[in-house]
Amino acid sequence: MNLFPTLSGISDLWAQYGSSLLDGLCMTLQIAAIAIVGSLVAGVIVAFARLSTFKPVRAIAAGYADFVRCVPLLVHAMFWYFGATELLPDAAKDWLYDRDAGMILGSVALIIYSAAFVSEDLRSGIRSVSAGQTEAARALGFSQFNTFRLVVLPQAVRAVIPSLIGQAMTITKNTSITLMIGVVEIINAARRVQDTTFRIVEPYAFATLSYLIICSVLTLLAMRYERWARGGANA
Amino acid sequence: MLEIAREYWLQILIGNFPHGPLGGVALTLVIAVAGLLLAFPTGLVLALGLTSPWRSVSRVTTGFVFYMRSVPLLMHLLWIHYLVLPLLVGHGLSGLTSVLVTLIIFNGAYLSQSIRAGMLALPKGQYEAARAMGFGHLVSIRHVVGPQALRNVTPSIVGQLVILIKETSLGSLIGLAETTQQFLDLNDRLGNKSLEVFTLLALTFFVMCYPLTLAGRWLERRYARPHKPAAAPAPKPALMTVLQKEKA
Repeated sequence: MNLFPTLSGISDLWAQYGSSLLDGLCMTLQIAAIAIVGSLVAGVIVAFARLSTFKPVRAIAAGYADFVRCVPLLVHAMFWYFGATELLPDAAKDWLYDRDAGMILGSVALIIYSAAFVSEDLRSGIRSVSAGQTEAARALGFSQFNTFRLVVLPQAVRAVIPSLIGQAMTITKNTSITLMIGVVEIINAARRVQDTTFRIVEPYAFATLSYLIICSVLTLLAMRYERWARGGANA
Repeated sequence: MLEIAREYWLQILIGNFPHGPLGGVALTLVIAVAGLLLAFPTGLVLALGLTSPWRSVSRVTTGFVFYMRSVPLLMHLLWIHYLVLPLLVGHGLSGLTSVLVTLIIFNGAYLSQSIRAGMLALPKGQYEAARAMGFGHLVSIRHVVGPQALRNVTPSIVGQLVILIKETSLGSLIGLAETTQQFLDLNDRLGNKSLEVFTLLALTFFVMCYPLTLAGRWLERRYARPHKPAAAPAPKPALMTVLQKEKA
């Protein structure tokens, strides 16, 4: 069998398996969207916990971030999918398996894993705003809350957006891990086509191109933002 | 959980080693260390390509690095395992070779970007002065820019090792007998002990990676502070030795 794709071969494959590949792409995008939003929310909470003035809160948040980052995402996914489900009551298990358990638990693992990285970015963004800014605002009579809201936060957001776009890229790529717990995302969809047709290049190329396009869009977005932010600072 | 650890610690550590190929934690560590050692020269070559004065070379390298970074590691692993290596050698290779090759290229691409960043962070005058002294492009990089840039990258190497250890777990997709695969086998054998098995798996990785994370932080703190004042006089001896070598 010829390894390299032909035009007619591609169109035949597409007619037969195109929709399942597109379903896989949708699944990837869905998990990515859930995980990006979820880890942003969780990351904000962890970041504030790590900047807290109350020591036990700070220690717990730091311990969480350290532990999570020392364990591979794949292990997180396996833990939630194979391990943690044992603890659930039967009703919750039924609810989960009526839906796509792999997708739900994979998203949970992805959120817990990514939140540790997002919180680190957010924390360094907040700390990149110089202490003089806070001191000046406090000296001018701003309350602590207003100092944060009106002075620190706008500068921190500006500093942190490029790295958050980078995290969005990483999360999107990391959704591929869910294939190991049976989720039919884009790479798994491509593998299924490979298993039934013994074609390698076409399905893999589809998955690879999808990722390239997603990442190019996000990279362009980050570049646009950086140019805009720099222009804004000059004006 | 402790019983599982007590019962199966040898399998977790080395797999079926004396009777079969090395596996478990030992295999994970061997692959991670070997991968890092080989990814480093790959990263250096790619960094040279990224900063090459030849437009075509730097464009191709930039495109390649962008491709490596935009596509998940799993996808690279599948491409290399099912297509690239079989095409290159004529037959399929073991999971070990595929994982190692994938990790080397993938991490080489990531390292090349931090090496390039280290090179660009130096004042431009370093390179220009070397060129003005009559050194060629490669000699200037080798003796003036390179040593200083690598100093910036050194502390992040330990962090990179942690990343490699974690990435090795993907080998279980193509049947590599590393740590994760040992626990998957254990899970099958023990039946309904999944929670304990996978908690133990997470703890195993934590025990491998946390000391390295702490060591990396310590290195970074150590290197970060004295670096700035030391950076200015550093090029001097480098240039002088090169000059003396040229004379001799």
